[in-house]
Amino acid sequence: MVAVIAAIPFIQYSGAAIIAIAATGMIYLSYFLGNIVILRARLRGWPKAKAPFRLGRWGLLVNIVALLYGGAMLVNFAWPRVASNPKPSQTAGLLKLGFLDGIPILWTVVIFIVIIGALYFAIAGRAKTFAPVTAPSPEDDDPLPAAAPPA
Amino acid sequence: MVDRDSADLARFGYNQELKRSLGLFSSFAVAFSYISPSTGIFTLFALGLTTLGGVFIWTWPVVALGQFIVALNFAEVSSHYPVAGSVFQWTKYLASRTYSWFTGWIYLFAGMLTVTAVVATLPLALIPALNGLGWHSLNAASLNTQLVVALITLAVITVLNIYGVKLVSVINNTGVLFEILGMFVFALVLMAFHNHQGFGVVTNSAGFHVAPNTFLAAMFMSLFVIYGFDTASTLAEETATRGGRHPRPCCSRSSGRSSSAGCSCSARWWPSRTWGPRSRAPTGPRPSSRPISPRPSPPSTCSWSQPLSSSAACPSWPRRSGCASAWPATTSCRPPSRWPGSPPPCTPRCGAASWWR
Repeated sequence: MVAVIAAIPFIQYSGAAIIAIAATGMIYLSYFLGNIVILRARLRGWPKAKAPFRLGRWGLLVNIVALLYGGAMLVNFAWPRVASNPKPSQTAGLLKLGFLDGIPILWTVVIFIVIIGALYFAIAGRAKTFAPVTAPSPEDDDPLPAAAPPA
Repeated sequence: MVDRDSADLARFGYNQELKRSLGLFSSFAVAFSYISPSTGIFTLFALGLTTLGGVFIWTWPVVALGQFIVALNFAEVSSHYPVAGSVFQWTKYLASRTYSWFTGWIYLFAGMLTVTAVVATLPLALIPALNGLGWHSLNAASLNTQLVVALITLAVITVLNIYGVKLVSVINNTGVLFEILGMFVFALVLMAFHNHQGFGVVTNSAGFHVAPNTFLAAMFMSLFVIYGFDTASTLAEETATRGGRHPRPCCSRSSGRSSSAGCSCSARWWPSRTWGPRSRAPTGPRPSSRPISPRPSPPSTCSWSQPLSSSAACPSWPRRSGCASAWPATTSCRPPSRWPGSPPPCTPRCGAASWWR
């Protein structure tokens, strides 16, 4: 399954560079989303339990710097430029996406994946059960209100 | 005997379903090969070099520092939640269901695109190597040839992965060993005996204008290389004895909001060196039918600051078989989880003290 999906970009193969940059951009996006939540938890007092690795009072600073770096790099990824984020019309015919030719390729990739995800989540994902969320220790059972920030 | 790792996992509501067959080196090797300096160098070296000349090497420390800080942040979270699944798991414990689902979704596709990028990179190195071995018919510059080699690679790695993690880890460990030899040792050899460039090359932009915008564009090579450090945590459930992280049943002073009553038994994560004999966590959300070994006595350094209630279960360290029966204290169930469909885990109560607030 993963192999099949991983092969999809080969339908319009334009060399490894664009795919590599798209993969990196997606990773940075997911790391950024993760770091936002960790920061939010920190502001609410996490972590309260002890763990083998702890940042202590440096945690907040590290978290904020990580977010600043991640955010800056996300802007860098999204920046439309021929070398890293070309519009299909700028690739000398390597990429042809019809009406999407005027949109930087990484925007198309991210928006496409998010839309597919939203559809899947709306149809199937919501009903699926996660493994039960069991807090590992009393102080880590830090249920935050289920207010969903924009994904 | 329920091993420690399975007990770890049970505390997070998961059963041990994957075989723990990977050792420390495999765990390191997986993270290393995901980061894989050589892959990124083959893929995007040209981009860096044609944007900023030799100066692009300075994007490395910038990205390395930034990602190190991100990694530090993740390290603390994974230390609390050592469950496979990377950012999905971490956000799952700290945010809403929808949010963590989408984080996981994006992470999943990032992983798949990474697979694509890496198999698309391989032909760049493999085709010249095959030609060097006497197979002169392949044209490394042809996108179609690259495509065919990449698809064959994809099929092979898929079959290998279906076969099992153990075989893949052996192959991966071998690859990582040669990658380290090739990228590091061989580079030192070249530097010592075949050095054609002075150190000045790293300040030579080859005529390209060094400015913030070109620097940012040249960053993409190092950006592509330096990620995936969370991969080791993704294998957390297949690695034997994760990172020195063992649950220590410890009767500790009640702290924070659970301080209202009695004693508080909490299984916490202590570094193994700090405490006595290894033992299991006292709680488990799922009934277990497995026989359980006698529990070692609690570490002597544990203390209670408050009087124990009469039914306190802490000192005797009862066995667990299922949630309720063997537990001398009362057992209750948590309020329904906000995750639909999840069974309310039974929670042993330590006398009057509520473990979960």
